[in-house]
This record gives sequence, C-alpha cells and structure tokens, in this order.
Amino acid sequence: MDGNLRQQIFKPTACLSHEELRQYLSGHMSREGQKRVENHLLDCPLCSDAVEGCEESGNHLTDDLEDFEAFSKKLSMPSHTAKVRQLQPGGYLRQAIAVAAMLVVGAVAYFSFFNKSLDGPALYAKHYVPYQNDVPLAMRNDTAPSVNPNFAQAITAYSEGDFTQASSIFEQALQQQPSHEATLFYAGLSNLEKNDLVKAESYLGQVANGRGIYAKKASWYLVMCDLKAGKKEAAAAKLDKIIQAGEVMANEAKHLRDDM
Amino acid sequence: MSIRFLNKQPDVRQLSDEELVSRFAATQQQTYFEELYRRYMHLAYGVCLKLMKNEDESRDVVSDVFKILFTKLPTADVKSFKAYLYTVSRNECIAKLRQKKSDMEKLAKYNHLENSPDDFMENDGFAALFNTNPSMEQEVERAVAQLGDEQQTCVRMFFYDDKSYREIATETGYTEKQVKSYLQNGKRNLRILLEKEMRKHTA
Repeated sequence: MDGNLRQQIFKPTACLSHEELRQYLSGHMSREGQKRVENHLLDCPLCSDAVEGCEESGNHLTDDLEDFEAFSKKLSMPSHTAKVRQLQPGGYLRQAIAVAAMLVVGAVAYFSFFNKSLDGPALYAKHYVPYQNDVPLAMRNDTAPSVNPNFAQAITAYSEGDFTQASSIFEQALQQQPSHEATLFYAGLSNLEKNDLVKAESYLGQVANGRGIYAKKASWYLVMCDLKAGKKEAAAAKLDKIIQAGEVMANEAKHLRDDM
Repeated sequence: MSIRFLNKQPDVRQLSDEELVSRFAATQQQTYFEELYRRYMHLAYGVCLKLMKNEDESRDVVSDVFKILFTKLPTADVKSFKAYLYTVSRNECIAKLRQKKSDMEKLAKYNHLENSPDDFMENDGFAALFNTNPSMEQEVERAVAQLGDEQQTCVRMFFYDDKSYREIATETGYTEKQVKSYLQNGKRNLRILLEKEMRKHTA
C-alpha cells in the first residue's frame, strides 16, 4: 500500500486563512497548498461552505470586508473590554470622566440595541440553535445490527436538514419503539423545526419528564416551542426551573431570561 | 512609560481557538475576540454568501453573527469555536431569510444547499491513535476496497495519485462538486470502517 494515504488521510489540518482562501479561489496556489486545502475541505463544513459560497457567487473574496477596527465601533463595550493601550498613565481624573462617559454611552447603546423587549418568535429567532446531531457515527450507519434502520435513516435526514422527512421516519420508528428516548427527542426537534408545535411539545415533554440523557436538553427545547408559539409566560416559567436546577442549559436560560 | 509595557500580553496568534474563547470569557479583553474575528470572519462571510446569495446582505449578517458571538461567548458552552460559528452563521442567515417573504424560495432551497455533511471531522485524536497503531496498515486498503465505486475511485485518485478535485473531475467526467461529495462521504465511511476495526483490535 502506498504510505501516502496512511500518512495524509487523517492528518489534522487548519482552517483557511483569508490569504489562503483568496489564493485557492483565484487558482494561484502551489500544488502542495492546493492539496492541503482540498484535504481540509473534506473535514470542515465551515471552510467547505465558505469556498462554495464564494465560488457560486462569482465573488473571489473582495478586499473590502469589514476589518475588526470598523466592526468594533458597532460594539457597545463596557470600559474594561477596551484595549490596554487605550489607557495612558497621567491625567487620571480626565480618564475617569472619559471612562464614566463611555460607560453611560455604552449602557444606553447596549440597552437600546440588545435589550429591546422582544416577543416570543423574535426571542426564538435570537436564541434558537438547532441541536447538532450527536448520535455516534457508527450508530448512523444503518448496517449496524443494533440500530433500528428507521432511526438511522431518520437521523440522516435530520442531519441533512430535511425535517419533514426526518419527522415522518422518526414517527415510524416510534411505532416500533414508542419510548426510545433518542427517537422521541429527535422527533420533537424535527417537529419544532417544521413548525408542528403540538407534536413537538408532546415528544419533547415525554423526554423532559424522563430521566434520560436528553431530559434537560428537551426542557430547553420545550422553552423554544413556547417562544415559537408566542407563549412567553409559559417559557419564562420553564426557564426559571432550568435556572434553579443550575444544570445543563442554565447559562443559556439565564441569558434568554435577561432578554425577556 | 505606557501602561502597555506593564501588561505582558500573550501572543494571541499562538493560542488555540478554544483558548481564545476561554480567555475572552474570563477577561472580556477585546484582543482575544479580535483574533477570532481575524481567523474566521472571511469564512463566515463565505458561508453567508452561500445561503444569502447577496454580498451586501452577507456583510450585514456576518456583522450580526460576530455581535452575537461577542455577547454570547462569555457564557456559552463552546466546545469547538468553528462549529459554533458555523451554527450561528447558518441560523442568522435562515432568520434573515424568514423575515423576508420574498426570499422564501431561497429558504426552501436551504436543504439542498446544506447537502454537505455538517459534522466537523476532528482528526487530531483519531490521527494520533491511527498513526501509532501498526495493525491498521492493512486495514486501510481493505476499508478503501469496501467503498462504493465512485467513492473508491475518487479516494484513490486524490490520496494515492495526488490529484486535485479538478483533475479527478476531468478524468472521470464527474463535476467538481460530485468529486468533493464522493471524497467527503468516502473519507467519512473510511473513518467509520477503521474505527470499527480499531475497536476490534483494542477489545
């Protein structure tokens, strides 16, 4: 066997720098560089989609992307996040006044920008993060004997974002294994994605009421169901329980509660 | 003397993404966030371009994405920054498309656009195990032989013959996109097969 495959195939590679991306898109890259990039694209959806996005739009990565200095002006940062070099010794009173003024401006900007009272669907849009499929790779392979083939097929559809197909197959799998926790959980998530909130609540509720590994996460996604349905008060009550329990998703829950 | 000289700043370029995230969360110092922005802003922009298909909208979404990260990173449980960035970028694009009824067509095409696997294949741990396990030498060839025809052809041409996507496409008649897809799925399947073998050897 050629040793090249063994050496190269699972070699960890870094994401593309701005310059590498530009060179790859323009075709002005060394052969070695091109191979490294193309091997990396097989493992990294972020870089892979970035390359495809630029190629499909015919945009070979323009130079005028916003640099950090311009971007940072849009942030309303409290003074302690500012760079150290902005503080010079001497004139402490003047600095204190400047810092106080920045704090006031920052706080006003923060509350006007981030802290608007949002309705349920807007909070959902801001805080909802699709659950990344965490079913082990081997379990997704429908040749694995212990895995319900319906489940394997459904999890693939879920991973590909085909939630209509996924929820339909998960429900078939549930007919065979009605209390299978992972199936109930992903069936709930698929229905949440496709906006069938009654079913989503039913499946996620069963998981949240159990003691399995997805129970806490299901509680979080029940909050998402409430927000999507515009039931902000119900969501708040569930959030308070998650925060009180102080376990999985408690930080996210606090952050969302602050936004309410 | 400037205060700057009294504060020895680490060379942020030497820090891993996850170190940058944890230091940013702990200190709120902008320097750490700036390095993450420098490493990934162009990639997030490319991801947004893929979904939004509009340069100006993509710039706006990327800006929003990094604003969200700036706010959320200190409290989020981030195991892989790039996976987190990828998720937030896609969500923001979808949220923007949902807001615009005129873009429902784009939104409907989202599944099609997202047909590439969304799992990040973290090779570090696996490569370390794999490359130090001499019994895997023969297993690689066996695993390659188990792949479907298209995947096997592309894997052999890419890894054995050192050909690029374009060269493989020219020789096989597949499109470059198909070549990439066969390679992505082939590599993923190889890993599944080899992981099974490694489990057998270590059992």
